[in-house]
Amino acid sequence: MAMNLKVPTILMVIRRRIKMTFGLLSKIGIFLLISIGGGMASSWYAVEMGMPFNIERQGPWTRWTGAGQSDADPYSRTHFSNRAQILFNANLTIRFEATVDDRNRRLHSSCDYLIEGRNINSPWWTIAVFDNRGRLIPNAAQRYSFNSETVAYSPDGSFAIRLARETRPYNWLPTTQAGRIIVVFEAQKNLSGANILAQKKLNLPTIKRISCR
Amino acid sequence: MKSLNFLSHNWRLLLAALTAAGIVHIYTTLAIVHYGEVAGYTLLAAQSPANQIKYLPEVTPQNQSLPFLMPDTRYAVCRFDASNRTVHIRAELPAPGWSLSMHAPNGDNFLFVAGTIDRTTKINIVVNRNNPKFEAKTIAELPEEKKSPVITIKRKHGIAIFKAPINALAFRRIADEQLNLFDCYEKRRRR
Repeated sequence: MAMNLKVPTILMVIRRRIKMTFGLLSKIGIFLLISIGGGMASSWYAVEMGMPFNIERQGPWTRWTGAGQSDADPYSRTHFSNRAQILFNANLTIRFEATVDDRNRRLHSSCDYLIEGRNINSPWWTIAVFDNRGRLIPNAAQRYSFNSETVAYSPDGSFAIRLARETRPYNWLPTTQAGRIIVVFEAQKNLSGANILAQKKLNLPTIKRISCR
Repeated sequence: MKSLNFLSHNWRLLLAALTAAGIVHIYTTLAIVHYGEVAGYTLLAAQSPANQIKYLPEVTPQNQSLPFLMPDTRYAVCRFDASNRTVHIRAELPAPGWSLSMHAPNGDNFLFVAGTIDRTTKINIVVNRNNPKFEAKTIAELPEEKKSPVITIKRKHGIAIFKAPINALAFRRIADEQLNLFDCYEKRRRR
């Protein structure tokens, strides 16, 4: 009888110990997942996508506000040192990048886009299209960019640039088969006279998707 | 409901895990941040001799020295090194779009001068080996023959980049002529 009572007790103890060990292991697993996984993933995200304090967003455009500055935060420094890019001080020049359109869809060479702008309040600006790694997209027309002097304006002072694989009339930037594309907009700040004291937000162009293949 | 139950029973574990995640985040970010010479600077410096002008080829898919270089701009570069001799850098910026910028090896753009609509901006920069302090004189303080501001900068090494926009094919010759006015030389050279 005593033997019969002992066996279940031992089994229960073993079961309880296994349960405790699993409980402990799962807690350690959760701790490691949150601490190491979460810490590294958040660091990667902050370096690649930026944080609210070091990027400025205007529609589809993103600008790193600490770029090229001696007091830049570690995220901005790492973001740009990975890219092998020469940076111009974000306090003195304006440089925006767009990887998405106005409706937050990834820009891709399989789609046609319309970049429309009007009254850009800068003495000189330029727009260029690059592939995902910052390389110009080879094309037979040898068109890679437009600036405030070379773009064809409408009579009302607005302009429209078409990003497309195939030839388009007027302002056309070929995207061929580059895959994911990045549109870069650079503008010079208006630093003459009273403008330096009254810096207004730049009127950035819009990026609309027209169609996709 | 089950997960809420888990959270209420293990809030200390979650708090500890979140604190540890914060520490890992800071450690990872600081471990990968690069305060030394950045890759973009290294690539440009490797192409340019010290204290001389190097005209970068027209930016095309075949001739792109660095990623994200704007293709409607001509670039001239001077890698200045004032360890032994004082270096002079001169440029003229006739209009908006033209600029002269100076970059430290760690990627900092510590000086940027852009052309304006009003007048041609003449720049004369002295990278002084003996006097590494920042000194910018106003135009009013300068003698008549030196009406462009003279700036003494505190860095001895770096890269000066002169940008000339190509506004149309017809203006390419003007851009090239203006690029030729960009000068970078050691003091011993007679001018």
